[in-house]
Amino acid sequence: MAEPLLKISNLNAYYGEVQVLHDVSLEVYPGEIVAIVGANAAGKTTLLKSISGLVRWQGDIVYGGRSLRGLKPNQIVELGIIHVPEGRGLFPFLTVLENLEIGAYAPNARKAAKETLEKVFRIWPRLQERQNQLAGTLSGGEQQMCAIARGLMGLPKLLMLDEPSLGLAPLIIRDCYAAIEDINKRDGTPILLVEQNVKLAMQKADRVYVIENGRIVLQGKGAELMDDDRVRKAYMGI
Amino acid sequence: MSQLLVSGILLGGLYAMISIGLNLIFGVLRIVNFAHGEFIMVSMYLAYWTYFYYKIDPYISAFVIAPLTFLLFMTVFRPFVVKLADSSHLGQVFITFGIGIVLQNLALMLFSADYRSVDTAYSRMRIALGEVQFSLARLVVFLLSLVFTAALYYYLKKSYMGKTIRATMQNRTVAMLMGIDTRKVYVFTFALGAAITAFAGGLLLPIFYVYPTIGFNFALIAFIVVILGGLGSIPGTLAGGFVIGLTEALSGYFISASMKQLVYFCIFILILVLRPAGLFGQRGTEELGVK
Repeated sequence: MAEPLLKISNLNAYYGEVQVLHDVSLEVYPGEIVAIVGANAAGKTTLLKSISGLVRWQGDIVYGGRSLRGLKPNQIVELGIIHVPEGRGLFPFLTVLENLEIGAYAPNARKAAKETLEKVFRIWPRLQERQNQLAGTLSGGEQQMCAIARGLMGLPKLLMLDEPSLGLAPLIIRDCYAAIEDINKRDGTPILLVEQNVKLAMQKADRVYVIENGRIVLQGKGAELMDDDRVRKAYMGI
Repeated sequence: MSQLLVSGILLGGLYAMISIGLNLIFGVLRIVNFAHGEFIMVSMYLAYWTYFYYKIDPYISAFVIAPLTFLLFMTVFRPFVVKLADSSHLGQVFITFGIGIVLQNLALMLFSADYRSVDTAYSRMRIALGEVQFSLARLVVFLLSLVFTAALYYYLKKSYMGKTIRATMQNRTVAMLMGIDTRKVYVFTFALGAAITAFAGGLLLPIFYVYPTIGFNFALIAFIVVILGGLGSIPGTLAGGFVIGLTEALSGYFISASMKQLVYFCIFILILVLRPAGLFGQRGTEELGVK
């Protein structure tokens, strides 16, 4: 395999004095979908926040051959690492269109904003219909669409999705993942996603990391892990 | 009666003018600024001394003092704004209240408690329309309050920076994930609010005496106007100004001038009971920054 696009080695992350991640190592290779699964409060979100520069960490995170140490969140976004946060994180009192425009904040993304917007509207015509509606008034599924679309507006070279299926109906989840796989296939954008729904993650991801109490306890190909007895017992209740 | 209405509307414009800057800082950024009145007081003194020593008209010096204030907050006072933005609301109350007291006492020490005013060619000029009379200076403030309201409304609504400011206020963490340097946004918006406040201070000088504690009266009204109109709503500030201005003019005549504050506080409470987000506030926005 080629060089990893993202390489995390021996990462320790903290909220104030509390250590949340212990010695986490993880790689994302070009074109992959990688899932991080685990129970609530296992540290999945913290891992994404560390990459985005929102929490204090030790160890190393190297992206495209360059360490992210000391970079501010906005500099990390400018490198093309786009983080779609848990719970969508839309700006509720901005319209759908304004949310998308703000998604293209970084200078290179803003230059291309017009074309990207057309592309995003082609993928989700629903968002175009609702472009002048306040984002806070969208349904859950539409909000998730809008959040992912807003991520695309930033021209991601690595797209990080935090719990895209959270709180959505099964049918909507299916659509949502179809869109994610599409982004990955069409643009070759590598995707790092956090998912509570272990079964779903293992079906959709090329590789999966299982995180427990802030440590990576298992890793492997999605399909292989599905047959792993420990995983079946602990997460799938079979 | 028409005289009362005209006076009330002009007064409302003046109240809106002193509140627009606070609406940016408190309404949009949710930084509680109890030194708002002192910002006005300091800029009035600046305009006063510029007039006293250099005979520069306050209407002209306002155009210098406001950009200067903006630059000062973007540079020298930048760490102060960053600290303020990162503090809790309670912390902001203490910090800005303290700054207000320091500024008041500095003014008292340097300029004494004397009431000072400028006497420009137009400060006593009055305009008569039929039976209705009003001062030119108040009309100027009123018209400028309309201009500022319109300009700021479109700026926040339509410009990319305006959208950035609103996004940052609605969710600071997510704004960071969009690539926004949120500290820059805070400093810029605060500086803009302070500059507009300084501008308002210059406009008030031909109308009011300046003395070290004058700020308190203005700050009280500005807070009421901003909350009444709806936090973050620029047209709301204008409407809030009119409500308070008209109330003051009418109650001063029909009830008693000394009761005017009682009356507008009653109206203030009544409106908030009926519309907790204020007259023009978006429902739900009143809780931003609290949760």
